[in-house]
Amino acid sequence: MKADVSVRSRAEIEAAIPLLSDAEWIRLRKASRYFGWAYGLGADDLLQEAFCRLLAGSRKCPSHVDIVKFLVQAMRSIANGEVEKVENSVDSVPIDDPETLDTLQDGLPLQDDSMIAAEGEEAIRKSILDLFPDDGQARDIADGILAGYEGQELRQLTDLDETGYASKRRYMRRTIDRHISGGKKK
Amino acid sequence: MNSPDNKKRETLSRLVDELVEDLFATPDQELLSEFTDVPGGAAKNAEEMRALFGGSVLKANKERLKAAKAGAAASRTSRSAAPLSDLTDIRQRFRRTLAACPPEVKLTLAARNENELSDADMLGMLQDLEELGIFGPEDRDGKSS
Repeated sequence: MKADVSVRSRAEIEAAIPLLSDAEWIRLRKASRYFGWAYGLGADDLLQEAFCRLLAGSRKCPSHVDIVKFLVQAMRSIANGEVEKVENSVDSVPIDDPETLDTLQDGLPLQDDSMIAAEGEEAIRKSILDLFPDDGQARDIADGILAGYEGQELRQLTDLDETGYASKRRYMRRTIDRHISGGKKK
Repeated sequence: MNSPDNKKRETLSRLVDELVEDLFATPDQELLSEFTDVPGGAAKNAEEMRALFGGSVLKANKERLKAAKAGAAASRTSRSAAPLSDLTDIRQRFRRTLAACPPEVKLTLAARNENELSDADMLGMLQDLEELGIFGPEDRDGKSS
């Protein structure tokens, strides 16, 4: 069978990943923490699963795609899939004992202190907005993101220009970084 | 249909997507400076992450070995589960295959003396020939190839 030349081989992946720069490793570390925090999954578990799927070839990384971006998208997809799996299990099995939830899924272990564990969208919104108690613009941006606004719409919502918006978003990300670091998870 | 759980996931996805977008928009130097107050700094983080990747390589290797073993076991099961009812036909095909064997394929005299082989010997011989690529499963099952 002819090999697909547009996809990175396992050997290429094994050679490329250890050579990532310190900054690229930080991106992977932080992204895994964001997904872990939001979806209630262990950050390292999530990243390891993304590595394994890439190595096993169940997720194929096209040669022209940045490997770090690809791994981040893989984590996003794995996190969504894991949470969906649990939701489906819960839908089909009557739960008398809350501990049963932990045994229903055979994928990555779930954690309780996550955003996804919040009861409903409003609880999620409140948890996020509470991270920025004194910053009206940050709260507006967070509110806009949660409501589904994007790019230009978000800037209009806060009267910020592109630079101002990028700066505020960076401040919000760093605030969330500190919040996650102060929590139980790494 | 959008269930409440789906909506929750979509809401969180949007937030994490913004955070990730900013991660990629942040210059390397700024990102590195975010790690200065972490013990060991960015270098230690990179070291830990490489170790995590090393663990993933081992895990992926184990999974691959496990899959290979499972595949081999399934293949053996499939072979042993082949129907025995058409043994006469299989013997005829076996004889035809032997006759067509290239000279460089070495077969023992005992194997050629088919009447001295039990059914079990015969099936074992067929499996050996299959592994050598001389005798395909479709032949053994009595179907024309």
